[in-house]
Amino acid sequence: MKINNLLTLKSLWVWCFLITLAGNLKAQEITTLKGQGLFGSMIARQIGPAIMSGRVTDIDGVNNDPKIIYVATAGGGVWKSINGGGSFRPIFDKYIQSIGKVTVDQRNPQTIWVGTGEVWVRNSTSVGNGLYKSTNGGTDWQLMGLPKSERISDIIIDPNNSDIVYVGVMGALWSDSEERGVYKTEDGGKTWNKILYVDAKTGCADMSIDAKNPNVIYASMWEFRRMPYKFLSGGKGSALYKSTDGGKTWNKIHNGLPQETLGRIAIESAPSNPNVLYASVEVANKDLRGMYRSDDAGNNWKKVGNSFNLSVRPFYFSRLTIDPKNDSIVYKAGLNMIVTIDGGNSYREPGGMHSDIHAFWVNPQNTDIVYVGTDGGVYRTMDKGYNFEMINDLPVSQFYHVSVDDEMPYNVYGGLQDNQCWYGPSSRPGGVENRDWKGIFGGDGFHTIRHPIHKDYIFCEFQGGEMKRYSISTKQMKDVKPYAQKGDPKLRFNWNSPIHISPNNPNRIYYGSQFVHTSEDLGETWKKISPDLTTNDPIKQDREGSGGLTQDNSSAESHCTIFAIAESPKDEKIVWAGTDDGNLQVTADGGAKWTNVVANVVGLPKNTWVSHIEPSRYDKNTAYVVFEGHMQGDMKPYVYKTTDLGKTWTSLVTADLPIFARVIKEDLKNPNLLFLGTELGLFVTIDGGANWTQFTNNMPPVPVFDMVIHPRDNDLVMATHGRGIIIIDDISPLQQMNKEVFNKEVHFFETKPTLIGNPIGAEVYSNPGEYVGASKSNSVKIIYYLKKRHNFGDMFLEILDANGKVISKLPASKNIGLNIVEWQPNLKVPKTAIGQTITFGGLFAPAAPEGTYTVKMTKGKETYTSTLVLQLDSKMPYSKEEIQERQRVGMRLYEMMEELAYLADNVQTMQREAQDRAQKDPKLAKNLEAFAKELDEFNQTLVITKGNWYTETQEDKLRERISNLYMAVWTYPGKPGNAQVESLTILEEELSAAKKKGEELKTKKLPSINSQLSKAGQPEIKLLTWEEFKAKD
Amino acid sequence: MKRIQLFTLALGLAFILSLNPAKAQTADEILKQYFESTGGLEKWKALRTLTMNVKFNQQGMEFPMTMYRKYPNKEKVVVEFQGKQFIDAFDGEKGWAVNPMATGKAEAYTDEQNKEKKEEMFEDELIDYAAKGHKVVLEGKETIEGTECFKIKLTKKNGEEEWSFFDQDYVLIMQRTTIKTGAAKGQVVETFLSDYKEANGLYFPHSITTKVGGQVAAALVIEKISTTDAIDDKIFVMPSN
Repeated sequence: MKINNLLTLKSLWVWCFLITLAGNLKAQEITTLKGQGLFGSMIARQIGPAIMSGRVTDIDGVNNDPKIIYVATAGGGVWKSINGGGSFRPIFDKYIQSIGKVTVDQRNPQTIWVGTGEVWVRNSTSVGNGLYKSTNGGTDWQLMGLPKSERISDIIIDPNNSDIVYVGVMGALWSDSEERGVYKTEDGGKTWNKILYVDAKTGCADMSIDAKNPNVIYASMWEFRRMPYKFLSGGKGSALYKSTDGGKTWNKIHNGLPQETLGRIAIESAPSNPNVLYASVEVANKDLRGMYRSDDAGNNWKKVGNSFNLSVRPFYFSRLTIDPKNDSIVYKAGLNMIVTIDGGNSYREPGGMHSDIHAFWVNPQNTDIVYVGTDGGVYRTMDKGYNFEMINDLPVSQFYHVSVDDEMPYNVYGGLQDNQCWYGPSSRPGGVENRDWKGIFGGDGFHTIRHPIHKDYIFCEFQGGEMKRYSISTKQMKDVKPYAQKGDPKLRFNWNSPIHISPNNPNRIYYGSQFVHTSEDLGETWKKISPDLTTNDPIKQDREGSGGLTQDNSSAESHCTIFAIAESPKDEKIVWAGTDDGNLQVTADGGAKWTNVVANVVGLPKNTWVSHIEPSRYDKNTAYVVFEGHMQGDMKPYVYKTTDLGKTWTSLVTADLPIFARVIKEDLKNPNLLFLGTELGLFVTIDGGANWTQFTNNMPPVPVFDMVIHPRDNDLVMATHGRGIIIIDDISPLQQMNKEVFNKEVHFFETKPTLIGNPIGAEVYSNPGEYVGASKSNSVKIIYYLKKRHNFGDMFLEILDANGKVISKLPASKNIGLNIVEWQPNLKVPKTAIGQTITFGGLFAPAAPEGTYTVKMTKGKETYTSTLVLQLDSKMPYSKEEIQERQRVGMRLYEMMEELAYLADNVQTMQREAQDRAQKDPKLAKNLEAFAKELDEFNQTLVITKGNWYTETQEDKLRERISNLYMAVWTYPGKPGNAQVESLTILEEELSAAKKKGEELKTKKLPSINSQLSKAGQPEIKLLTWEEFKAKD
Repeated sequence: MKRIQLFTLALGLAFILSLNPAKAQTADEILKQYFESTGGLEKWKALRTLTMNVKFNQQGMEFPMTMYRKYPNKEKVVVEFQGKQFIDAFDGEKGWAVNPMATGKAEAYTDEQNKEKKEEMFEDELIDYAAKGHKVVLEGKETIEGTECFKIKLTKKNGEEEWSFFDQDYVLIMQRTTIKTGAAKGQVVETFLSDYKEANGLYFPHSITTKVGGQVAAALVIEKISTTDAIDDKIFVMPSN
């Protein structure tokens, strides 16, 4: 009694405490609208493509098992193949995607080092954030330091001691940095010492180690700088160094090299003979540039070649790889690949590959096999570079822009770094394959837009303002760019010039030079509607002076140009234009008067590039602008909103945003929902920018350059610069997410009716070894929010038809936040007669008919309900009557499948039991065996009883014939053919006759048999009723 | 009457409280808490057989499945379809399978399959991991589908690695990540566990969803678990056809 009292008292105390706690919990409202729960099980869909692949920056492999290959890319992370390149998978998806170097520790090949930040420093290159290491072949990674290195050019592991690692830090491209230099660890990366440093302008461009004496290290140091309008290579800091004491002391080794200012140098020591070195040297003197060779480990050098490809664009092509077994065979990256097999006396330039070569890996066990990294993916040669095949499984494509059309499924259009303009389907039955994509135009591709009215035309461009109008039907293109009119200065176009189609009048096209141009006749004639909107700063227009020691006048540094143009969807007279040199201009009268409003943007550094302008679709005075200053060394995000046409601005940047952004999208339905494309992936806000959350579900932190929301399908389509096109299908739950939803225990989101019955067609002849992008799910999505994760007890969903009958039971998703459960809108598969083989019709579930269904969620003891609607797709070329006829015939066959299944079950049960009883009672055996024989013969007319499912089979029996017709009718969404309907009639008759015979056996013969069994004291043969049979699993 | 109600309530709540971690900090504390809250380590160690009736959902189709598992590493899975049995079994040394769509006879595993399967133990590898020669490390926290979890890495004696993610509220395993061997070597397989329910004093997840590359590969719903069946060793042995 005492104990009880005590317990009660104690319990009461606990109880009171808990009530208080529960009360507090209840009052605790969620006010911060962020966190991964926002997205829950919403998952991005990557569609590639891999047909043109993308820029590959480095390749390494496992010497003892050369089937294992690692590929590092400019914007798509690191990929691994375990089958010599037959297939690849990404292994670095949680981390920054721009990679400088990947190095395998050959003593422990499960250990991989990755240096982030590309070192082929073109205008569009991204940034890195340090050095990573995996000790399990790339399954997971640890940051090993150097987070401010920005670019890592080399990683060398002491061949005798895995704890000793040298790392070359090239460092910041657009600013000074003291992080540059050569670093060394002697404890596997726990601590680092900077062992070579020149100055804040000079970074390490390359390193090499003596394979036989690992205390001998070479390092090339490079002075370089990029600005938005200029690139400079070379300077007093550039030099080639050697250390013979593991990096303690360094000496320049320039004897025989040009005695003038040096630029970028590549250095490599021959693995088979460390006395032999090769260096690729940049100097201003064209006669002295090119390949140098030393035969005494760097004491003396002599020039062995200076052809175009040996000296072209050193900042972009600077990789030397020496055959592991032969010191005379050297591979050099160039605009094309170059190879010497005689130590530099002569050179061959293999073709048959994408141009712009960056990396090599030579299989050390068979040096005829070489992998080559290019601007267009990886190529493999089996004959030392005479013939090449492209690896088709690397979707590391680098899009600059994306647009969509209104086809079903819609197509995606975009231009890519060094890989022209393309379009392809957003989804395909069986997946989006390489062959689904169509390339339309050469060079680097940027804006690519199908005209919304004149649908035969695609407007596209290559670098420097070369706009073309491509005809889909004739596959011809016309140059339709604006030209300078009489009295105009030279037109200056950005590398990536803005094409914009008016949202109010699709016949009006905008194009930007330093002026805003418009055309209302598909580019045939152009009108300037603005003065020069840029700063027109002459210092920033010295294109011929760009490059440093090696001139580099592509249009990549074309500056003082318009980069962004946008007309307000609410008022066609309001047009915004933003320039690369930091002007933000707006006109409210169609171009008569322009106002530069950038001075009103508080907190924005001068001359910060206007990256994107997004006029609101809800209010004509509201606009969002993204500025970005990374080319001035400023990695901070700048995202602003105005509600008074630019007079005042509010920053939407919070501490949630880690890096600069390039693009913002305002949602089409919910003005508080904004999507922000940053250099580290996608961020989303549902409260107008007060809080941002990174979207990481199947979405790597890849640079997002552009985005579009499909107006019909409600998909967010992203142009990534390294992982192709990534789509988030149906963002409607995010459109409905708000504070009330966040604070409900369970909330079902409204979903659009799911269109059913549209033929999907089967195009499933796949090309093994090629990348296949994910296709859009055609199932119904049941979307709900859970405030808390469900851990204990049952939780499941049921789908009920209009009569309240459960037609499907589904496992529930149970996460905090958004949950998506997919339902294939089908009935259950029919019960199928059992035969010797499986009949495929029994695997086939008929489509659930059009109508409204109830979704019932059981969560522990609680239930919640919602509805979903299946609606016939009005675009189907079949009438309602035809579809109803298919439903009627199809369901009749479904019933017949089940009726036959029941008949066969009866017959087979009687036969089995009769044989069983016959063995037990010899007196009754004769009658029972006769009965069983009759049943067996009958059963043989119903189902196949011998052979296998393939060629050793019997002729079709009733089951196969019904089953085949059932499948044939359901796999076509329109009216069944007359021959099919006639066949149905015949089968109905045959089934009816069979059922009649079965009924006779059941009602006439079985009672007599049962009475004999009963008399003999044996149990009677019992058959399932139809209801019992239906209820069976 | 009121007193009894309160007593019952308090007991229930005490159970919930006992599930709450006392701020588990180390890997061992987390594992201790996990085994305690799911029935007790000694009980887990005493477990010898499992019989499970499962609904197996794949690509919109549902199949009934029966799984038999027995200490130390015997297993048999039977899927019934159109009256045919698809069987996959392992007797501790050798495995076999019956595919009615092929020969319909028991076919032996390859040596590679046997080697792989032999390593799949009945007992959770986290139980007495050190005695088994495995290593365990707490790798901090990671958010798994919205829930912040403790991330524990198990490195088995044979070098294989496996991660378990424990939610912080109840210290239950929400997700397990394994790395495939064999043909799909290196492919990451994520298994999500939920619907914990009690069977003979032990708490088992009754919903198991497997994702490969972020896409659902299969979803299992366990309808019934029995821990007390004496399963005859013979059922795991390959029949002579």
